Amino acid sequence: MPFWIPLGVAALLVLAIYLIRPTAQALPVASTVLWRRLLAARKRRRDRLRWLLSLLLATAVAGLLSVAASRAPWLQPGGGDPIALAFDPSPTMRASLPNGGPSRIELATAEARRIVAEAEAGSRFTVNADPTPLTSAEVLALLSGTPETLSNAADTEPAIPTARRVHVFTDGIGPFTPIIDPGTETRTVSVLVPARNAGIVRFATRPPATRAAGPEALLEILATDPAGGQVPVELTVADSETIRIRRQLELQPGDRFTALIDLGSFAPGAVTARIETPGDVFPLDDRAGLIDAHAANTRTAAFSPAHRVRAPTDPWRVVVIARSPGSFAGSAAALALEADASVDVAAVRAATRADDPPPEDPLPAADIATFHRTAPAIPPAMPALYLDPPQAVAAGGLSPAAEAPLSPRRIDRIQASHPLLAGVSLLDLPVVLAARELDPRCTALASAGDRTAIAACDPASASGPRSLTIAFDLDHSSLAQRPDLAALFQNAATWLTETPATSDLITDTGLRNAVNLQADWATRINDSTLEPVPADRLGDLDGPNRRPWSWRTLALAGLLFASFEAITFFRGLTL
Amino acid sequence: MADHSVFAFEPAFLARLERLRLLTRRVPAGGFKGEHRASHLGSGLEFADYRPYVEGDDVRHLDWRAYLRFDRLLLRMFEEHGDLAVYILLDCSHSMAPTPGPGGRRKFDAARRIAAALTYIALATLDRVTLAPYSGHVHQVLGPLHGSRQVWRALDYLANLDTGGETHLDRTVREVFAAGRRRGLVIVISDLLSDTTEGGLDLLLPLRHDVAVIQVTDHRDLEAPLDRDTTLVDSETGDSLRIHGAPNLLHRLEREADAHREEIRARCTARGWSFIHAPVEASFEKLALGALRRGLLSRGR
Repeated sequence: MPFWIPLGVAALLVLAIYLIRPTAQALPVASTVLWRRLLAARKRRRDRLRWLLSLLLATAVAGLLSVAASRAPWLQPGGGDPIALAFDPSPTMRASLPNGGPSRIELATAEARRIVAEAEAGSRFTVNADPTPLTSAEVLALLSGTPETLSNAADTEPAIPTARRVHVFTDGIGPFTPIIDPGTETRTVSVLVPARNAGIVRFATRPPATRAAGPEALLEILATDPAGGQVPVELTVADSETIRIRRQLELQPGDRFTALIDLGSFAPGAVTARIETPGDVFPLDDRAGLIDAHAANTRTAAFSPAHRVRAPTDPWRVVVIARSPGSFAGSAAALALEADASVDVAAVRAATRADDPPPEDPLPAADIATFHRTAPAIPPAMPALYLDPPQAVAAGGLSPAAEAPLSPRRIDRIQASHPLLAGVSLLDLPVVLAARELDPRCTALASAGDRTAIAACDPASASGPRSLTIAFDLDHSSLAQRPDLAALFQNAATWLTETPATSDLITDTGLRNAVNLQADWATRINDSTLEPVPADRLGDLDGPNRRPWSWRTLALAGLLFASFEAITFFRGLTL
Repeated sequence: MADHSVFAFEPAFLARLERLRLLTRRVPAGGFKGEHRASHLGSGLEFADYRPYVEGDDVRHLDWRAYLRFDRLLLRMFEEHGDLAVYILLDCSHSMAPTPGPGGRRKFDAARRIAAALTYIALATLDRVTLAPYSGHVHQVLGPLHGSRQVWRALDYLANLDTGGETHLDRTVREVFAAGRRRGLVIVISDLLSDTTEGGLDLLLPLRHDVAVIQVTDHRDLEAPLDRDTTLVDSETGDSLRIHGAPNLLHRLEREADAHREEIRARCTARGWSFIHAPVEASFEKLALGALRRGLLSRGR
């Protein structure tokens, strides 16, 4: 509303007040001496009352100033427990609006800023699981920063600090269940905005149905568009050498595009499918990799370790499958394993291919199979430790970042509470990483940017074996010179060989969903139980930061104006 | 010919007035012979006291019988009698007759009748009367008049007076007594509805006159239709005062008038002055023979 409209209305009201104000009759009297004496007597009585009132008011003001100066927390309306702001960390929060609009996390921060701006004076705020209370200015500064930093916590069950009120900002997609004290007032703020998206929802190999020349891949693409229009998609499928397939697709929203790709002519190695969609708002599912599809029947299938039953007092028996025995000997991993008295390296064998002759002596029974710079095509049926695996690490739960160069990074995110990292300090550790994407069954224990450095895979059932992948080169890491590596191996031996309890099962996380190529991302991105954000809120992201006037301010101004008008109106009416 | 109807006193009333005289303390020396006891002893007819003879005393006043009895020369002292200088300050301001017409002049008419009656009494008792009507300033002063033959002149003068202007008793006192008039009895006849009343009365105090204040009131001054917002306009100054109708307002105004009167009465009493309330609603005869007599008059003969 333009400001001149209420101003004009106020002016009209003033004019009306002056017009309807009753006029006084003129009455000649002999003298006004007695009247003035009467008014003076009345004024004296009123002055005494005013003096008493002013004394009371002055006393009250002095008392309030004293209390305010003492900063008594119980007097502050926003005192007591803080207000908690919990942001859904799932990747869908980074989905942006159609036509390049703000992302859901930006909507969430805008709503959070609005809540902070309208909170009681003196309120304190906490953000996600961080228990540090922040002032309004501090939390507004935090919320005005990069919104993505708020949703990178990768913890879908953050323990929210004790708060008098919790605001949960989520799009309702994927599990996000913050742990909140029972009885705490909780408000869920929906930031769901239907978004345009196309994604690869399935990319899997299977043996050829009709011929034995090679495998074939099943590719499924799903598109969605809240506007209901056609979604143009460019599909490229490449092997490790070049792009083999390039197709232009026009998908209807909700349609599932399915293609069966013959991989017989593909070069051995990784196979990558990629789609490009104009206006795609959620580019996390536009690429899928098949792990060494050709090697599925060429890699060794002869690795059949025996999983022994270990007595609690026995050392852990480890068999090592290395790219070559010479490459393992003298490596940081070998030195660490040999120095660990609780670990018995029973055998070190070179990796074999399917067409290699079988080894003369069978592998001894072991507790843990360790793969050094190699990986089996089929995961072993026993706990496995993958050390610096090559790009094709299907068994280790990691897919290669085929198009990303190897570059030194620093570990910036760890799951410090995981038992594998007890006593291990990894933060800020420089690493050279190749692996990037994480199998949905696995948990990233340490990450450097968008790449996973250490992944722990826990089977869904208690019967399956666990595996641990250290995806960076230990020989070129300072970790090898620190006791943390021995502690990591100790933790790994313990964790890999113990029977997982139900409570230890890794729960679903947003990051896991982000790379779950088998999930219907294209539909789930809009699949929520929450109501979408009203359209009129989308254009008011900066509302709380620029309020020229509010109804409260206007009401206060009106009250002051009415008081002033009353004083002037009754000026002279002293009886 | 002036209209004397306002002074239409009954002969019986006049006869009763003739038996009265103005009450005052002793008359200061320097006047003519009169009926008021002087403040000093002198050569009158009424014996007052003895005092020892000193050289220079008139030997005719020696009491030889006392000399024979007490062997001392004693001088016989006699009461001195003189006339009284009466100054009648009559308020002729606009508040005395705020509205035109006979009904609106009740206060002024009553004040003039009081002045006429007192003049009549004073002249009948050989007092010297000075009539000084005033409002913002003193109008033409009449007097001093002496002798009962001056009554008609005084009545003519009073009958020809008219009202107008503001009340300035202080200015009036300065003007009337600036010439150093003889001490006597000052009678102020006014409604006292002025801020200058108290100041004017204060000015009389150092002059050592006997003072009598007669307040003439009209109950209609305390009546006003206050059923709505009203702007009161002062008939003298033209000042306006806006009031808002309130319950019991007129009742409170009446109480304020009483309080105002009692303040002036207390002030006069503290100075040994007389204060007489003369409401126009009361009959003049009753006033003259009642309140005036109690405060200002005494039976003379």
